[in-house]
Amino acid sequence: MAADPTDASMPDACSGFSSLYRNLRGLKWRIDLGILPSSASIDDLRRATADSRRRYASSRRKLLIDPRLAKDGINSADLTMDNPLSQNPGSMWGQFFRNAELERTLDQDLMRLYPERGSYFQTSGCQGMLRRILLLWCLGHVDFGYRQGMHELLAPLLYVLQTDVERLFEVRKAYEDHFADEFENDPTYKFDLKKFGNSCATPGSDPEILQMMVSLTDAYGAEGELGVVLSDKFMEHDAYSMFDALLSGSGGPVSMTELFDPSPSIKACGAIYRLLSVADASLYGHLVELGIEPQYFGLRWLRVLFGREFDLEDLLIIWDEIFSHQNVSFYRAAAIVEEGEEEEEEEEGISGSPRGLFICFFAVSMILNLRSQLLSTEIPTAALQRLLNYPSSDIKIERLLEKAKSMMAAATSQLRSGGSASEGTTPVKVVAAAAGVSYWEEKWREKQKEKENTTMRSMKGWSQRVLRLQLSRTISDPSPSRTDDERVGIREPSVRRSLLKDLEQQLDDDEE
Amino acid sequence: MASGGGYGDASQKVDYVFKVVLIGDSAVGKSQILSRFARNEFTLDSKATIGVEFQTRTMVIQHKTVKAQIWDTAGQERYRAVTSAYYRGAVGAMLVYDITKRQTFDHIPRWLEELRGHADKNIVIILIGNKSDLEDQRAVPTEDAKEFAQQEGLFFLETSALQATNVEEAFLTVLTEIFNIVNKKTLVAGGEDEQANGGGNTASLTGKKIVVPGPGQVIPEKRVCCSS
Repeated sequence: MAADPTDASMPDACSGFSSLYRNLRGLKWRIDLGILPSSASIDDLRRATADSRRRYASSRRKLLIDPRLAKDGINSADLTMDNPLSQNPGSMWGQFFRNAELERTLDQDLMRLYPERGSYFQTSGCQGMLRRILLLWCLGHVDFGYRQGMHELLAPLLYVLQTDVERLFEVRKAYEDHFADEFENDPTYKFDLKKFGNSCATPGSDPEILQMMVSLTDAYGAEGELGVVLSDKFMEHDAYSMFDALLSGSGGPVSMTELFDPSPSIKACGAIYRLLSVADASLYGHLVELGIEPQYFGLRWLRVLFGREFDLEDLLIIWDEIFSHQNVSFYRAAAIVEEGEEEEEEEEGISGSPRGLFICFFAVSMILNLRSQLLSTEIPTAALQRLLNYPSSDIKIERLLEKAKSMMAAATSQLRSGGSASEGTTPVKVVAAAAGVSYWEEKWREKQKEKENTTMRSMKGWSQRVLRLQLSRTISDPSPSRTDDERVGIREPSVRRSLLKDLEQQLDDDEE
Repeated sequence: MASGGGYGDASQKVDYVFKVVLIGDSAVGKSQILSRFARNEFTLDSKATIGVEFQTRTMVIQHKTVKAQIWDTAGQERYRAVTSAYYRGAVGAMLVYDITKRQTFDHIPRWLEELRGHADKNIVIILIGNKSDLEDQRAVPTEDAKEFAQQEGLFFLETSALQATNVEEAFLTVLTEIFNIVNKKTLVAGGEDEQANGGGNTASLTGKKIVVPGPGQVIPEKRVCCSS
């Protein structure tokens, strides 16, 4: 396929996302969340689609048991164990009753989900899908279970899939001939989703886009109907895989489940304040002085990824941006963290990947947006109330995003151009905050600057910076390949570990 | 959205700030009780609370201005990340259950235990059976709750946030009791002085300026009342 001239060079040529891109947000999110490969043939896409749906279907079969429907002679052969009065927790009925209990808990929150959009979220069809997805996820993660707020992470995912399908119907209606039997589809057709995203075409007006749409809905390709990428029949399956990827983080530093646990969630809130202290020291100082701990408002912001502070349509735009940032650890991407070094990775916390860092910067942007109001009050409750009742009606979401993006760009460019990091305190701080290093390390760095060029210690500091610079280079590469990772990863992990130890030691010495 | 929202003047002089926490199982109506008290509102389409929320309302008790700072949190709080911050400085607590759901009442001892584990031991507590408008679905007899409250030395009221029954009374019971206890003790720092200092800390988030009831305080047993 010929290179697309609009590719990358003019992404904003038609005021932000192209209509098509916006219209197929669910598809974009499935790619961003790692469920579908970003660059693949239509057959590969179909296979990935079908595989994820099969996984869901099989766990649904396994976990959602209705003992009343059990096949004779298969599951219920042992009536001494499998009867409704059985005390055995492992019995089919025991499981059934536990599920029922969990379902009641879920229903309590689902009934209260997006009441302002009840015409969709409160329909029995939608509630049923949401309930089954949550139930299955909880049954598959028994140790974790259901936490309030999860339902609000799931709801927008299902919503965008629904919207995709509706858009598809519109296009199909308008261009019926194209969607008629498409036996002649080229199976070797390569998907270039960047083009997809940047095209200014309205659905169908560009023959190539139309061809993509047709391919994405074609049931005759690999895997048959199960492989239809955009399908209304498998919305539940697709939403589940997105939800699971979002909660687990697919191995990256941002896993939403962590934000439901006390310690990591408080740490994540702390990361917001750390970045704020760099971005606006006086506002940060003011909030600290008032005794406003970041978790008072941050927990809610982070747990539902700002879902409570913004209207759904605005939220989707925020999530577009969040998901478009990779959730790959700065360190892992550079192959610095090897297996068995989990503790290192844990220390990075939420700001350890571009996605997490962006989430934090967005939160900072929200705080900065209230700057004058916050600074003008000396009453803690008044300030906290401003933060807790985020003014979503009169807010320009684009401005918040712009601010977050510009801070993100500043931080990552500092990472990229490691040399300039030594020019002043602020860049150093930005780098430190951006990379999620802890406070002592930052302090040490400042002290270090005074003794630059003279000691071995400053050499170590410098080499750390270079290390980070390399990391970010890898991250910023749109498609980091294995070979890149290996090249950057020549440094031994153990070296880095001992470096950190040295730093710690140094700080202790300095303080004594 | 300002504190009190026309339900008390935010700029007025404040003599005392009392922090009160709301606890109880999910969906018993904690947030509804709070919004009824703070804004005289009841929202049919309320959502589950995530993290913490709070409202304030200023009222007059025995010619003194008292600012009630009510904290509300998610009912599913086995996973609370803010436990200590939530209870820090709280001088009153409202333990809420749903009269139509027995389980929410059965869990009250657990909540009481948590309260006694984290909050000041002299915290003033009121047990509240909410949704008293749903009499036909009642699953917790008033007598059961009354007896429990007496055993544990708690105030008790049945409320309906929907019908605005007893919500005001419940808060007044707690706030007046705190007021009386505080008033009996010699104040370390007079309320007026605080205000004269520019009011900077009159609404401290931790309620540090509040004199916590001393250890000699005995919660009156006979003040138990009920709605029906």
